[in-house]
Amino acid sequence: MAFTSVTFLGFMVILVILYYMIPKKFQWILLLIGSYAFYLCGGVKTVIYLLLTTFSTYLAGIGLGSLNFKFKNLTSEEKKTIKAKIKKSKQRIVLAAALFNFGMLYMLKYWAFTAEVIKSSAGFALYVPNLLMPLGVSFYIFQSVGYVVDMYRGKYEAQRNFAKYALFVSFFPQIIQGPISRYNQLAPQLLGEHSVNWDQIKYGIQLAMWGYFKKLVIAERAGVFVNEVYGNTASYSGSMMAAATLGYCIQLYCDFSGGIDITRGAAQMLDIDMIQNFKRPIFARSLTDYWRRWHISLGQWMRDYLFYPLALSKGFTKMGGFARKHFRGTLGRIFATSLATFCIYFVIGIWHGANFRYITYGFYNGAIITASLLLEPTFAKIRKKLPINWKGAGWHFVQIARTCAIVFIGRYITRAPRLLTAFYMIKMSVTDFRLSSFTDGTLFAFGLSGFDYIVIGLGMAVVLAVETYQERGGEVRKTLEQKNPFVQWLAVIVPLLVIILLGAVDQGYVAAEFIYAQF
Amino acid sequence: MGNITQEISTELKNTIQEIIFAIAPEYDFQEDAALVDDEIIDSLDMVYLISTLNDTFGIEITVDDITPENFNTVDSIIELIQSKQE
Repeated sequence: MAFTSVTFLGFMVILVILYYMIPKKFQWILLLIGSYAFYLCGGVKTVIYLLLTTFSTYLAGIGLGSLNFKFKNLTSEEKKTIKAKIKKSKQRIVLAAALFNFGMLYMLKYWAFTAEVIKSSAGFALYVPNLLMPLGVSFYIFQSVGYVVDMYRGKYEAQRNFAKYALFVSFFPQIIQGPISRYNQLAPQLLGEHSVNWDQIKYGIQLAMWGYFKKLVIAERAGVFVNEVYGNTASYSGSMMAAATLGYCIQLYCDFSGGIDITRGAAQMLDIDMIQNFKRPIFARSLTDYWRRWHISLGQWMRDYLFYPLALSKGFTKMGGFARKHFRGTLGRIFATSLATFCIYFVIGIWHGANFRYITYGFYNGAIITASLLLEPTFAKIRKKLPINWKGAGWHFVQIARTCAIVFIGRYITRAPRLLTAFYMIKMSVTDFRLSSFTDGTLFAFGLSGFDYIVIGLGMAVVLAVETYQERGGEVRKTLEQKNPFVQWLAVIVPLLVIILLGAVDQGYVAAEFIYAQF
Repeated sequence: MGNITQEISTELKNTIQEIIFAIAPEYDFQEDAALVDDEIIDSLDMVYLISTLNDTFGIEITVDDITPENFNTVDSIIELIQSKQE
């Protein structure tokens, strides 16, 4: 069931009405039924993977909870003698749950790629089962393993009710493209009792509409142009490749943020606040800042469950000590953490997909961020010598433009069908940049009219205006509340009309799945 | 006894402030903004801070201890260190 389908809209209307009509103590059961109904629409067979993850991590949580409880009730003398044994038992449970679930993810997402690499390098073919990729598998596995690690760390009591735990894993708005939620943030809301809150329902509808606008009006339009050029690179000039890459930046920005807004809007209608997952990355001043604004929940997951354990592990701590003794200044201080950072971005790269493009994308981000960390003292010295106002708007703009350029180049890598095609397109964008391509009618050969380009341009102008307002601390929905009722109604009717009239390129057009749903 | 405890606390505070100054020289100790919640230090700084605290005080702060409550202020870091020294 796609978020952009009429079926989903009908599903939401029925769900919200029933949710607030039934006795509050049964609301979580309705959410569970709704979530599984949503998931089953995507394919009955793939629900087995969701159940396997749910059951394995549920059991791991129970096991860890029991050990935590046992440890808490020991005397301090008993704690000293048994601590190591309990820790080992807990580690075995976490390892089992992580290996089982990441092993499953590996088989589903990465085995075919591994077999291909082995076949092309070593010449022998491995068996590759024909497996369907379950919807949202990366998201719910990461979320569930996060719960298991939090249980290991003794953060909360285990959820002993399987059905309640299953709701945390399968809650339908997050299943397509996140966010990757934390148990203590999401579960109390899912399991709590909710009265009708007209403000939440209104805000949820407004947020979802904003998401539909970005997805259906802007992203889908841009996608037509992007798909054509990227699907037929030999037929187009370097300038068209650059324009298509810019188009992809627009498409991905609106597709991903639109999907998140629909997710959070749908949840908000049910009086559930999901965590922020997208925070105006166009204003990022560095690549590090960008990754704190783009797919926030993935970055935080990597930080808490991978980066900190890695960077604070015995091996990296020893490496850090060695580096501080043998390398001077900042290099000594950040050598080990820079290496850990590089590893994390590599993992973020391959999280996106099993091919050399994503591995390269991970290295690209990791290399730039690591280099910027290591070169920071040099930049600081240069900054002291130059008579520039480093806190001024001019430099701020330069930082944003620089970050956009770095991200823009990265998009060639993730969108191109093959890695070598990406390098070819980057090269052609520089060596074959012809302004004449923009005036010789090529732009109108993709199925987009001049009107469509105007819609994309104006649409992005609206998005940028709203995001600029938000970046400066403004809250759009609260600001609208203060306006007179006529303006408030306009703010609902105009976007709705825009979505209905402009939210399809052609009659009978079916919106594509969200880009991040494939990860 | 009270004076000795106060002396240790002051020495601890000065050491921690020196470590934080090395990471975030712009941090105003008088203003006492929240180091983690106000994003004065990021995850890379956190790793350096923990490694340095572990080395300096001979303790073992682990991943499990990384919460905003433990690292938001100099006083909360002092409490964490003292709890690890017990």
